[in-house]
Amino acid sequence: MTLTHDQAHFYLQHQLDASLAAQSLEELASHLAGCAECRAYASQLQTLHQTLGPALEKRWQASGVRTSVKAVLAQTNRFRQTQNFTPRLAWGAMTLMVGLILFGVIYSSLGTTGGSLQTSPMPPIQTPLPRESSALTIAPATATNYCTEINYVVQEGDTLPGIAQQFGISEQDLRAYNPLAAPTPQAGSTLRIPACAPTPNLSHTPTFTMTPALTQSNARGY
Amino acid sequence: MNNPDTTRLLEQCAAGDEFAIEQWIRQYETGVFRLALSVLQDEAEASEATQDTFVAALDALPTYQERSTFKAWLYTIAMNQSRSRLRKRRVFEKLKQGLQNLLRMQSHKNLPPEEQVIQNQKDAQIWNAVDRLGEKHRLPVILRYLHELSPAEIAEILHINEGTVHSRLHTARESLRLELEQSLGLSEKLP
Repeated sequence: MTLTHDQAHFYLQHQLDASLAAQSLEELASHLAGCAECRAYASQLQTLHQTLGPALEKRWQASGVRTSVKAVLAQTNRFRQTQNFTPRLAWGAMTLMVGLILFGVIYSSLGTTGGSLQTSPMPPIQTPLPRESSALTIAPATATNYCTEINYVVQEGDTLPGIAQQFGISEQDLRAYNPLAAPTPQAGSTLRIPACAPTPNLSHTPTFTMTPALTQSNARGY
Repeated sequence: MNNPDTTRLLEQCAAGDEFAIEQWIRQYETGVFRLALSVLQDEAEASEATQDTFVAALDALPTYQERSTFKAWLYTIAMNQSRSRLRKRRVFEKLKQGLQNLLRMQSHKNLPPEEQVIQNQKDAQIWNAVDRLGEKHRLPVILRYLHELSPAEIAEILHINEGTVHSRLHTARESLRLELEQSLGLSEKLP
């Protein structure tokens, strides 16, 4: 079977992109052998085929391309969560802190107003200051502060600064309450510890003896 | 379809391994960028399209099945990204053109390649000829000759069937041949 020129051209074109069947190749070869026109066409096509690649290669130089991996990761939905984990944590912590501060402010203001409104059944206990130490500055028992005192049984090895620190009060205050106590009080003796709270919560008798294990956690808040 | 190295790298990428992702991007960015550039003809836009391509590919990586080569799959995404940018730009260009006509301003058409620094006159002629092909025929030529993809891969990227790829390549080469016959001195002239 002989090919027409158009068929020969089609085969030549096709040959550049895919392999021709053996039979078609044979037909093409025999046509080209007897057709100068198609040989010229084939040679032009071959030149074009070989020139296009290198020419286009020079057209779009991509020497400077450098995609930012960070930017890609930051925009990728699947990894966004892990990417933003740290900032998110920071935001969470900040929100929590702001929340706590707000809570504290509201709580204390409530306590102040509430304290004067619902005058507790027990009047504020003004700490009886020892007369001889009236010059001392004791944690000023303001009108709204409800102060009481607790008795602390001195343990072996306790010192005044240590006890003061344990209860979160100044050593000066502790001395003011216990003017006769020695710097290293005797074990077994009782010390008076001032305990002031902004909110009245005196439903029970405020005098009790605390063991050291309890004191740390309770003394301040009381 | 892919070699084992590629498969392993892709698995690591899908798992979110940043080193693998970096390696992956470095391996493919040049190809993706040049594809985007050949469609968009603008480096800044092409580099944005490249980034978008990797973002989209990373998101879609779990859905990639080895039915096609990874390169073809990635280039499909790149082609879609570039084309959608091109569409947006065309809308914008039309608007601009309309405004310019309205104001009778001289329109500055985008600079033809002639005005770039041309080292090789022959290359420039080929570039111009390819530019004049029109997108329908230009893209298959670029994918075939610049990116050295097979007709099957081109078919996948352009969402056309393989037969269409063949016929578009034929048509494109035919018109390139006719246009470049003289200038290229493509062997002896036809009788």
